[in-house]
Amino acid sequence: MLNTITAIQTSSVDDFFADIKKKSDRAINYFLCGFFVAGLILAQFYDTWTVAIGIGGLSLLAYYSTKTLLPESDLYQYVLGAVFGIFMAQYIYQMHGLFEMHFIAFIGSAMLITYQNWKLQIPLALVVIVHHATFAYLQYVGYEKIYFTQLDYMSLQTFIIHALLAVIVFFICGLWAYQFKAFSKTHIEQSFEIGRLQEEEVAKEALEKMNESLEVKVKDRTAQLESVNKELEAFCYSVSHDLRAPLRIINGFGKMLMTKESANMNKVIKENLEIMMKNATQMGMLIDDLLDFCRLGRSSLTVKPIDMNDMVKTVIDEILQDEHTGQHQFHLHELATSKGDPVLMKQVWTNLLSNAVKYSRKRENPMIEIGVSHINGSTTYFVKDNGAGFDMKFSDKLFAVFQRLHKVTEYEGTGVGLALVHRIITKHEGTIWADAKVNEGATFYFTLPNY
Amino acid sequence: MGNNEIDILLVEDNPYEARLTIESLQEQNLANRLHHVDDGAEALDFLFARGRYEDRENESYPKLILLDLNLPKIGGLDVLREIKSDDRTKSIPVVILSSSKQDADVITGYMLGVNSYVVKPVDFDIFSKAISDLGSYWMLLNESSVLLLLAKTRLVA
Repeated sequence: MLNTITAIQTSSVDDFFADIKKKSDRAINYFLCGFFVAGLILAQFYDTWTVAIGIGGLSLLAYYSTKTLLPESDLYQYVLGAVFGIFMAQYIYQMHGLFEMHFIAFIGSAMLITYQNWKLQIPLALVVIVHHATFAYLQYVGYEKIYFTQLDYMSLQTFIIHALLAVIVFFICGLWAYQFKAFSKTHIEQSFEIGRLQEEEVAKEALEKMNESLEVKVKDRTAQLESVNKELEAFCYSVSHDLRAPLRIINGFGKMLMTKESANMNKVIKENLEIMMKNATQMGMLIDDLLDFCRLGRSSLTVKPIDMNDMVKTVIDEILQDEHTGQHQFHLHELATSKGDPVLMKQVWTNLLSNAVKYSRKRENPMIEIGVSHINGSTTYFVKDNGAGFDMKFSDKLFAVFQRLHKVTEYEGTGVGLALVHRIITKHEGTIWADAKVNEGATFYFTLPNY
Repeated sequence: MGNNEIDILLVEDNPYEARLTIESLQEQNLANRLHHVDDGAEALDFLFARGRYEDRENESYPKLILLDLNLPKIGGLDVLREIKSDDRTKSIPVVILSSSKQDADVITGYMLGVNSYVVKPVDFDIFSKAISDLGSYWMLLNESSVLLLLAKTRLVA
């Protein structure tokens, strides 16, 4: 984008000078005609028609032929410089050395400024210097019909001062031309710079506006999310209250029937009643698990260093107390210390280990291995069992809520345990995955970030 | 109900829940002097002998209040706040029996000075055991401060 701007800027500078050239050319047309006509007028005084028409005509011819033949080149401007000098020489000659005719050179010099090119002064100065030197010398040595000055005291000193003053005038005009050009260029560049800055300002304002609107949008979305979260919380609350109570009542009244009316019921009624109660209890567990799952989404982590060895040992003890079978073998390798939320991490170990126990219970030698391995440079904990395992093609369902890969009649459960584990690990910004084969067991891996 | 002394005040809007609670307490013979109210306003009326309970003897207070949270008219936590901010009732042990495990409720409950917060299990056996344990702890094992309080108020009067 900056390159484009520079290009436009350069071309604008060129356009500007082209325009100046055009205007100057037009003015020069009038001036040259004027000079030629002036030559004709001066011819009346000393009868110098040949010089007026010849030299003046040749000068015009030189100027216009160069300009026509090489329109793209600046050469005709240099020719113009020389032509101005020649006109001066012509007028001096025509007026037989009238001193005031020398000033014609200064008119030419001033005219050349309009092209804003100091170099144009050079051919003018050269012609003037050559003319003055030769004609002054020739007049001095006494050639007739050579007219340079009518002064009778034209000493060398006067000549030098005269020439020096002329050169100074040319120099000043050249300097002006140079400065005009420099000024124009800077002016154009500055205009462009201002334009660019304005554009930048506009772009910046637009960006700021966009950011503002983005912030407003983010605020709106956050507010929406918060309100949705609140609704969800209210939903959880009502689920917790209103769904559990009827289940407790179903279960309670069933129990009352069982104890008080036992004598009046036959076996079928008792069995059916038991099924009803069992299912009510099961649904209660589902709701409890679901609530745990919901609550986890909202609570924040309290990260502390955890001695995983201690934690896992405690969890195993707790599980074995409930299990009562005592036939499981645990292989606990030395575990790395880590950081995390101790309450939630205990939940992770509890769920993973009870799963391992549950799904390997039907084995003859149920074995559970707990350890650490280093996978891709991160500390990875694993729990491996030799239980029922599962088909890896269902692995995407493994961590989803209420998704189970086994029938309730085979293995009890609500389908929340692993979802909860997944959510806890994800909340810790760790990863969890599993590897399994049907009837050959399953291994669950998880990593925790280094806090 | 009249002027009979009351041991337990049960505040529970669901009649079936109330029946299950009473059944469980009965097993320990703790439900003989129990009064059941089914909303928060009535609970406060009963305690402070207002409205329907104007005739109730003013200075007789229950030894234990079992309070549900989700109550019509005045919620359980508001009832608790009233009980715990009145000198006459603040020493009565209050046990919240709630279906809800909401952290906010538990925290607010304890901040307001509840003596125990019990989440009612769905399984009736566990529920029944929890209720009867509660009853026997607060009614039999725990030394009641109500007598002391009564003695004090009488002295002042």
